[in-house]
Amino acid sequence: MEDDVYSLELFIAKFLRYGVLFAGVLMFVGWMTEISFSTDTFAHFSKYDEVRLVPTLQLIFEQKRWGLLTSYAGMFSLICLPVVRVLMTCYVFIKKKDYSLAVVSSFVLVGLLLSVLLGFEI
Amino acid sequence: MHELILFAISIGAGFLGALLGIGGGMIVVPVLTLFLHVDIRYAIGASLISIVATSSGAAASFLRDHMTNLRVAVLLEVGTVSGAMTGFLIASFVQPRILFLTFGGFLLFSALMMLRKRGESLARTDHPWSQRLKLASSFPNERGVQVPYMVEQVPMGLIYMYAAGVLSALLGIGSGILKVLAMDGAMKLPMKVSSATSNFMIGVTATASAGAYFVQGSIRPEIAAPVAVGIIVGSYFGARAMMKMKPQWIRVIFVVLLIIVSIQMIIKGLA
Repeated sequence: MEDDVYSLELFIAKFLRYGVLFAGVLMFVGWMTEISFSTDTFAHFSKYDEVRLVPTLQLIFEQKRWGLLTSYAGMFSLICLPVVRVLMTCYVFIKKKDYSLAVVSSFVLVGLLLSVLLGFEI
Repeated sequence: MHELILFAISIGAGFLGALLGIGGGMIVVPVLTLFLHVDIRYAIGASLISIVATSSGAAASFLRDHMTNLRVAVLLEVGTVSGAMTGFLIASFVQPRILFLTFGGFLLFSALMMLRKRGESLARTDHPWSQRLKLASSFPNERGVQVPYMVEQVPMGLIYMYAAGVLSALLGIGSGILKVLAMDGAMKLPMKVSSATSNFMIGVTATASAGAYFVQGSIRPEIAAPVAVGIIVGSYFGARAMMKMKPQWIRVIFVVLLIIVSIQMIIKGLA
């Protein structure tokens, strides 16, 4: 049992390390693709524009700006990493029959998912 | 061109952050707002993404160091995640100038905290919640001998963590300083354990608000991608340099810089 838990923890560590690398490569490739045809990027961001994620993605998809889409995919992967980490930690505690900590980590997981829902609402 | 400048600065921020044990957010947000004139809400979003990246990378090594207390981390994440949700709600309604003032104030506080000498005072009793959740553990000292420790004032630690979560979401920072204050100040954990556990937790705290800002549309890849990639690269080299360099003098220079930037942020907030 202890060996199973240890190999699972090792898997979490590897998953996080390669996950950051994967997301970083996606963002880098997306950024490099986009940098070739953008001029003064930051001029657009001096004032906050309340455009939500879904309409933004629809627009850049229509404009076929694959670089931006790749960067978005990288950011999405990055945000998913800690969520998956908490999910796996919860599983480790269940495997250890440590149900109090399993409940606590599932609270954290629900909190993370609720916070994303807040972003849709506000 | 500005993106390349931002990329270079982010490499520097990641390098310094890893060297001094702070997040790059304290450097990146002022650079984006004061020098590149980006709206503070976009700067906060970009900073949060970079914090998720560096902390997830650091969390991967938790098995090797044997310093991180996974059980304490999971419990305290309840406080930071609920704080981050509150922080996101507050950030959606406050004026940018309030964000500048709060950020400036927090930078000043951080500068003072970096100057203080951290004295180690270990827990003498184990809090009932700690006994219930088996939070007490041990860590290896310099000679590799396991040193046992207990955990005090768990509810107080949770309150600190809630505040850390609020500030993280509000300002786009990791709030590592507050987390360490909670763990070695209130809960009386050994310093090495509290630093390692804080680093382990920062990613989850930042994700709670980064996810919300992401779907809200406040995280733009044009800014976040060069920042995140730069900070990943910089922190990789910073962690390696940490083994060879003595960062005391860098810390003093950084504290002076932090004070100057905090005054500029406050002036911008008052303008």
